[in-house]
Amino acid sequence: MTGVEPLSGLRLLVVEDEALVAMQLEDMLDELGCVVVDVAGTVSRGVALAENAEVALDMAILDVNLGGEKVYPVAERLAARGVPFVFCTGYGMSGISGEFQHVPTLAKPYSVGQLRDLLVSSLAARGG
Amino acid sequence: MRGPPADKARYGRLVTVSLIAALGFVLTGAAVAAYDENQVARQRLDAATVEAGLLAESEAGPLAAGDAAAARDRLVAVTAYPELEAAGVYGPDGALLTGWSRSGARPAPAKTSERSVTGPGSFVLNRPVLQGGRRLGAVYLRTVREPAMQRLIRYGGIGLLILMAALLVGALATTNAALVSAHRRLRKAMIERGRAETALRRSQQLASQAEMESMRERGMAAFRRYAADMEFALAAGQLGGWSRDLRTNRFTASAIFRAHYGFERRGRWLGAADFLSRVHPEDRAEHVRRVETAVAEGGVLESEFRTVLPDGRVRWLLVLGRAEYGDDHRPIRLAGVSMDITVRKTSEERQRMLLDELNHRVKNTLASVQSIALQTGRTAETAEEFESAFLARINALARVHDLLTTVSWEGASLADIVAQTLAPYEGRALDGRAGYSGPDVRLGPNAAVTLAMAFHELATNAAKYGALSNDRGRIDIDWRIEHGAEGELVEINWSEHGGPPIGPPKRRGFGTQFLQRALAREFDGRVNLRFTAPGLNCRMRLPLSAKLRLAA
Repeated sequence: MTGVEPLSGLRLLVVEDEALVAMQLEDMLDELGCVVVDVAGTVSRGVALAENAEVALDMAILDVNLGGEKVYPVAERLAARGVPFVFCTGYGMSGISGEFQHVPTLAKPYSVGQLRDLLVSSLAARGG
Repeated sequence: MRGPPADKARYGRLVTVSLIAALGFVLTGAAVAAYDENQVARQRLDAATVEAGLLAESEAGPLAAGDAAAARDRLVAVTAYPELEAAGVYGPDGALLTGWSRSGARPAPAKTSERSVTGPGSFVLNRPVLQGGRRLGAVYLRTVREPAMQRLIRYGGIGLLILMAALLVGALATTNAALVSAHRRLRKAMIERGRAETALRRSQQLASQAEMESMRERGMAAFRRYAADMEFALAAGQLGGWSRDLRTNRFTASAIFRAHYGFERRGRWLGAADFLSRVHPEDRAEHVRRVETAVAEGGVLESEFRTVLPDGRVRWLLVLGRAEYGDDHRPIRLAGVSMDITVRKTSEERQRMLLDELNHRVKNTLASVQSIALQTGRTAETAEEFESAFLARINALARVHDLLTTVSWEGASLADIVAQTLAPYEGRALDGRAGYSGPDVRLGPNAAVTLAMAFHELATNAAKYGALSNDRGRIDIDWRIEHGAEGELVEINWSEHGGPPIGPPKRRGFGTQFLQRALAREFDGRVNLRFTAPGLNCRMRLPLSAKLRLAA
């Protein structure tokens, strides 16, 4: 990767309950030059991190389904803080509740290219 | 038996009438005969008187002249009168001058009697012969009153007339009687016929009434059977029946239909509004719209909706129906059945959830495979190493999926996961060199996959470098419930003994990363890897949670 990588230095929170997937996502984000602030495997830990104002966040990647629990409480906290986020899910768009239909979503499995494009477009949509 | 007495009286009357009629005829005949007799006698007498007058005038000359021969001639001229029996001419002295008599008959008397006699059998006429007031003599004339044959014929005629009249009257009477009788019989026959017709009509009416009654009863019986069959069929199919009169808005509902809406099966009358009030508020508008469309367009009403029962339970109902229209094409009623489709709906919902879940799992599994491939590729130094490590990891993933499938993805036990991890090494004379024990801890599907992968990494490492790489080493896997600062947790210890001496790995491989980063994060716990003298020790401290819990 070159130094002109637009996502370089971006501070990200990852909420993903499947260890293997989370590991891969971390590796992908490393590759993109991002800083993974933390990885939460549960909703409660995700909420705790999202609410913690001391944890500086530029963006978040949220797995929709965490062992049967929906990630929406984390999404609400982030939205309240003004932190943009994207979803990644094995359900596709149909698995996302109406309130968050507009949130950019990545369908599993995804490549590093797809991840980068989504993050870049989300940042652009937010006005850089 | 009213005939004979009436007939007898009638015959009696007939005899009386006949006798009176006969007497009438006899009297009439006698009167006619007497009158006729009288008339005939007078005519004869008149005729004889004229004859006598004529003779008296014609004899005046001869008598005056005393000419006997002339007197005789004049007398003979009178004898042409057929009924004359005897005649005579007398002189002034009253002596018979000349006389004539029909043969066999009594001659004229010798002396004039100058008297006229009307006898029963004859007329005797004496007439003086006058000339200028002077009596010249007299004439005598005797005539037969009536010839026997003529009288016989006359009386016979009268009798015949009376007889004929009697016969005519009799014939008329008989005819009349016959007519009367015939008329009477006819009237009687007509009355009888009328009665018979009335009776026939009555009996026909009765028969047709009886037939109608019988048909009605058969119809009713058939209808009752049909209604009973329908009710039985509806009840057998657990179908509710309902009907709504669209003109009066009257609603009729069967016991099952009421039960479908949570009303008591029998009780007060319930209207459409009562049932609609039990339809789930979210489904009500759509249901009403479907009902209105079915009535307006004449199609089949098919509406699936939820009903909220008084105890708060929600049931799914399917209501099918159809509107009926009159000759003026206006809707008369809407009727149909209801069916409880809660079971079907639940299973449909479950199926949809399972499909979603399956899709989710497949996607996640593919993501996991992708991750394994990338991570393995990153650490493998040769293609062969990649292939064997990758396949081994995929196999581990497949095995834990098998395990989860046997428990319907409800969550596996920790002991099963450990046993499954060690299973591939059984054939290599594990010989009890591995043991495990701990309370019955259960893991959710994702947690089970992660822990199984973690154990796979540990076992692979042990087989390559650790306790399972020689003949003497052993592995003990124990777990117990601990009470830490942040609540209850499961502490799992993977301890190797007797393996070849080991040191920390030259580089952080996939296994190490997976255990320390992924596993720890997923369970929100801590994983401690120590490469000690007896062998590798891995201590996992994983807090109890929804995906890691003690079996009930």
